[in-house]
Amino acid sequence: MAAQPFAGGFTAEARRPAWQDFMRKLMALPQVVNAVQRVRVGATPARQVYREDNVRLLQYESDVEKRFRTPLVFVFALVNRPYILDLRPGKSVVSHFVNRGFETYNVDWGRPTPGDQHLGLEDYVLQYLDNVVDQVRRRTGCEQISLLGYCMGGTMTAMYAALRPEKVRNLILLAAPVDWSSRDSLLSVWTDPKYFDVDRVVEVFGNAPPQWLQASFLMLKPVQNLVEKWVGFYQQMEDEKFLEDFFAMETWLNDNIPVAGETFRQFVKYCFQRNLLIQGKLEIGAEQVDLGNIRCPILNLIAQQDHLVHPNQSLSFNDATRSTDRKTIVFPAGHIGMAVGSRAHRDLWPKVADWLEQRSETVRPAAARQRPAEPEARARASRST
Amino acid sequence: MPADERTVPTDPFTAFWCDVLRRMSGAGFNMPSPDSELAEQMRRAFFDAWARYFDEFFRSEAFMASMKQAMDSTLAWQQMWKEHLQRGLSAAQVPSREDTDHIVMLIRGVEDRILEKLEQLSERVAKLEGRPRRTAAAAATSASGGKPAARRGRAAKASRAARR
Repeated sequence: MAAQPFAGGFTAEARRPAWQDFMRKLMALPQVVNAVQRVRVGATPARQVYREDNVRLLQYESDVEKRFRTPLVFVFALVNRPYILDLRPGKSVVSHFVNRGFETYNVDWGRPTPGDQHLGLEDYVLQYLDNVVDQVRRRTGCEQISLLGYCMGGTMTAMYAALRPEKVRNLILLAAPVDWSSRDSLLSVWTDPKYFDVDRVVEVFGNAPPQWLQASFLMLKPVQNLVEKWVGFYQQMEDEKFLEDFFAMETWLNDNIPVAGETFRQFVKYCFQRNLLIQGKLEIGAEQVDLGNIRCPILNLIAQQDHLVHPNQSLSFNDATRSTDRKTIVFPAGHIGMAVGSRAHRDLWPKVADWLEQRSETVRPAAARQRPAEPEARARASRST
Repeated sequence: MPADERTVPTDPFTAFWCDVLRRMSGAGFNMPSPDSELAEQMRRAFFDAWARYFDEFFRSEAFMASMKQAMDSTLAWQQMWKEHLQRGLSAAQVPSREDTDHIVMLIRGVEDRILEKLEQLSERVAKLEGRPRRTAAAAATSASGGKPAARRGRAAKASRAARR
């Protein structure tokens, strides 16, 4: 039975368990410092295979035999670093695909410098991303590739798939906003043109300042981010595994980068304020982005408790396309929990990998076709005998 | 008025304190142990109430107006600071970030003009050779590394449109 210090009065005896607990936490402080010092991010070895300006294409390396010809490219948002998709062993989305024999790449957009403030969506989508896709196609000899876009990276991936549908075989969107018509998300409220003058921000700062972005993300859930998280930390600070995960996550959360000014302006204006993408009115460069051009298989992964991208912002995507093979999974997790949550790694990502396996070209088509069909063929054979 | 509507307050804090008082009176005013499940539940309810309160507040007109005011003053201050700094650097004949940005803009402008010129030239060559326009465009595309030659030029125009 738990001690009842207040029931027995405010005596020293009654306060002893709480005092002992506090002392234990105090003794754990060197362990915390140690964990901070040796925090590591990134679980899967990767090497750079292509570079253009600040943008790098990383290929993940593995001893697992390559089973699929169709490569998979991860596209992350411009606001944070992409290693969240491969944060730590056991919390790596990348490893699910690498271990299944997919040739897996990740796009690192880099850190924009003040000189990059003029880079717009057309530069990122039609120049950098297109070049990255071409590079992967050239390396693998595959005409079409699979794309997985996360958050704003998902939006950009959807734009790309609409503009260059012939290069995309499968499209997976992870917590990607495409429809800003509802005001469920606080970000949609805060970017209201009546209160938020994006032109002025870009004019004064050049690039969107990372401190502002970081502060906005923190303030979306102030109690959880500024209080609850640290209460949880205090309660579990003696657990070494917890400390490693916690600081890896903190490293990523605080590793904010600026967003190129022109891209920020276009994204806020065209997406948040005018909601042009889902209406088919968005123009990138001189090309109209019509989501109806997307006909490839689509898997739309939505985080049910997403505070950053409300489920309503992603739900309408599938209906806006002309794909006949489309699926939506609404998973009970938060925006970041989709990538690092234990439940997502146990219940969601194996399913996503299965989905992609069924839609990717195998390395040895004949042999591979026999393999998955084997149990079915055996069953058919036994039925016929 | 139905009883439910009368007893359930809509304000998250009133709801929280009503819940606390109800629990305490139910427990005979015994303070719970900090480690007990009840304390955990109370903490959870307290945080939830705060979270709901902040969410409501952050959507309110009052917050939005104050946010706008704070942002306007920050931007004005930043702008003033930039201008002073630039004037100082200019007096010391040291290039500022504005100068490098200006150079970048100039380079991009030159790039746009060259690409547009290239496209015009490709069209002229195509006409001279008597080839259809599509082939000329393809030639221009391959000349610019697989991308349409005047795309950047058009893109620059599009960004200017966004600024408007």
